[in-house]
Amino acid sequence: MDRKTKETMVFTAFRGCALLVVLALIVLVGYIASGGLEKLSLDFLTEFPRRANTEGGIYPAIVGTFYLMLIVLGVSVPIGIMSAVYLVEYEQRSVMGRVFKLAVYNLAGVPSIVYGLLGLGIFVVFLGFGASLLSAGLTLSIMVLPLMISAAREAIAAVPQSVCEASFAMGATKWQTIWHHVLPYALPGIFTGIILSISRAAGETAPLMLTGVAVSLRSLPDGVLDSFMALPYHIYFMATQSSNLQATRPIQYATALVLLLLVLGMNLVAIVLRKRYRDKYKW
Amino acid sequence: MNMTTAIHTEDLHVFFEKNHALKGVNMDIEKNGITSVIGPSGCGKSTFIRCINRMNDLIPGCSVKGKVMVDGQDVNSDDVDVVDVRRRIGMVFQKPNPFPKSIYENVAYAPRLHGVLEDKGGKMRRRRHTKQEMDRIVEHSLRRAALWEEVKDRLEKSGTSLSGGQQQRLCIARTLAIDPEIILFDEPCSALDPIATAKIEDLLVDLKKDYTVVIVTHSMQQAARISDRTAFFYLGDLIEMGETKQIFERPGEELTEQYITGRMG
Amino acid sequence: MTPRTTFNHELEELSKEITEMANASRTAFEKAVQMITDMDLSQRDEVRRLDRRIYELNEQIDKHCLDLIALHSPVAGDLRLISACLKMVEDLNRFGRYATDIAEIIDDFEGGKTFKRFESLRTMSSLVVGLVDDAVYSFLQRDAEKASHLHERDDAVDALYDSIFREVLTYMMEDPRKITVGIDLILVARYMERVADHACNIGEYAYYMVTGQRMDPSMRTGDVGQPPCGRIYEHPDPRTELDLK
Repeated sequence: MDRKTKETMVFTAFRGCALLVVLALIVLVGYIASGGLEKLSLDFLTEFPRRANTEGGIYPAIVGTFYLMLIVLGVSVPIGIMSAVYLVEYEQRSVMGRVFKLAVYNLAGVPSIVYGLLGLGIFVVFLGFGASLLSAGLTLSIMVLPLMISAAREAIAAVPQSVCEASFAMGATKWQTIWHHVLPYALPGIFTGIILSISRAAGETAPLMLTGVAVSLRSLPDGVLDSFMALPYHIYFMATQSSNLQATRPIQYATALVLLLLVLGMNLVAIVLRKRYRDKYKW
Repeated sequence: MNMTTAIHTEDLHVFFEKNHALKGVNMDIEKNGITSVIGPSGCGKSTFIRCINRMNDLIPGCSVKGKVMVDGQDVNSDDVDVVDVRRRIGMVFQKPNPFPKSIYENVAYAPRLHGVLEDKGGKMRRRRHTKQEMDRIVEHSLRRAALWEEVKDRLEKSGTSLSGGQQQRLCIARTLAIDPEIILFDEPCSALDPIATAKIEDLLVDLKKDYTVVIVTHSMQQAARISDRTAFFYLGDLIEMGETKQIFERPGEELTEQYITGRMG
Repeated sequence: MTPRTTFNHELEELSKEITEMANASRTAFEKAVQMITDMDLSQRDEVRRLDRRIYELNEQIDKHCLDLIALHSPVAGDLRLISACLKMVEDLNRFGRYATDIAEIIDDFEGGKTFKRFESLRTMSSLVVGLVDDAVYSFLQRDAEKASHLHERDDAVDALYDSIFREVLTYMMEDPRKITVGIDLILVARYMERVADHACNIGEYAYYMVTGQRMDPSMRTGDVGQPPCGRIYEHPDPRTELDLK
């Protein structure tokens, strides 16, 4: 066959794959939406669950997931950025740098249930935080740290050397250059890392289970050391262990929809912020 | 070395890992004039000027040996404050690299970094600039870089929104803002069109009244047009240095003649 | 392959042109001199032809040099070569002109035998031919050493001219009928003396082209009373009578 035909065939295949992905997303969202949309109401979002999760709302689960994400953000973003800066700027070629890089890559491949065990052992038991937001939050943070570091590292390494050189040539120290030039310009990439991390953390169930997420609560957690509910676990529990699987099916779908929307919402905020910084620091 | 020498190098060697990039360079650069450094690619001319403001420190695996005397002080010694050296010796690079900030911020960056040095009861202290002081510095630097008229109404626009030649003049203004003694130019016009190049060359000739200018260029016509003295490097050695007129009419060394007549293959 | 092939090719062409012009000028002058020494009047047309060729080449080389400067930005040795060529063509052109002038005088003159017996003139002509030869060769062979010694011989030529002038003057004062011949004789000698000067100019350009230094200007005004080489310069026995037939 001639070149033109070949090219058309290949491009059609590519387009098909892309369409497949979009289709998958539409099917997924559609399926969940169709099952749970009816249950979605303001009451559902703001009430506590009643009657062993067969009625009422999922308010505490939403709040729990939200608090968890705050902890993850608060812990993994600073640590991730600082580690990435260290990796790129200070220890490019030393042994320490290479060991560090290796550690980060390997951590990224550890299954989430193993992280759950880790969280259980260290945070719940050893440090005595118990089954709390803190334990779960910290566990999730460690889990997404490799993602955060990788994304931040890519973003920082992508800052052109010429800008750094210009900064140095005017008598800036390394830290001043990083703070004034590298980090601001790496922000879009760092936001990408944040988006990926949150999406991952918000949806993980295994670590939550092992660090003590509650099935049902009467009140919201009033401190980090308090117990909590979370959306992913709520879905799991209701889909497998609730008293009346059939009746709660709509609740399950609705909860899944809420989780999806929550994650999408947080992503949207990050995307907007990323666009703002991209425009601000146009190359 | 006499009072009119701005930079004096003694037995300057540079190694990149095993590569001996500069081999024992002894050179004097005069104050308030333009000295151009010419030579084929890879001859060490960029490496040489980067020794003057310690920019070679940024390259891993690079070691610099020998003396680089600026104003009576060996810039290459271990106990010298590199940040201070780079404040006194500015550098403009080949590809214009303004910060993606506003034009004002580009010029204000360095002065803000270093503050104002003033005598407070016998002790020299640094303090922040006031708004008026900073405005004055920005305007003065942009004027000196022949850019003020073109950008005075849009100082808040991004530095990257300017044309190539304007960006390079912005980089020059940025360097002038901290009032260095010496300004190093590493092939500043190679990414620019002829008209922008001509503007910058005029600017350089104007700048040499107040600053010592060292320019690396691969255009011999440029070196011939604007420089007072020319140094020819080849494979890491300083082959010949002298008055530009003499180098381009009657070079002393055979290698120099071959290079400038374009017969170095 | 050395870079700048176009430029190098153009430089070679220029070299060929200037060589041709230099040779033509030299030949033209030598043939004019032959008309004096051998009374070979047939050379006159040849001299005229050469002069025309010299003129053409003058224009051609002028234009060629300017093109090279405008387009190729020559420096150092190349620049000195082109500068020397630009100046030299004027002097070479003069050779052609003077050769034609001499040829015309001799051709028109009836009693050609007079010249044959005028030894000083023949001596002078051989001196000048030698000078022209060496000047041209010093340029073509880039011989600064040769170029630096031309001035001494020019001084000898100048001295000869002075003595010829005085000699012919005495003849003209003796016999007014000899004035026409005498003036023509002096003119021929004058032209040859000018040719010698131009040859020295060429030597100076050659010297600058090779060394980059200008020759010492004090060498231009030599001590005319002191003939440097007794061998070349022979003071002729003054003739009491010129055969005017």
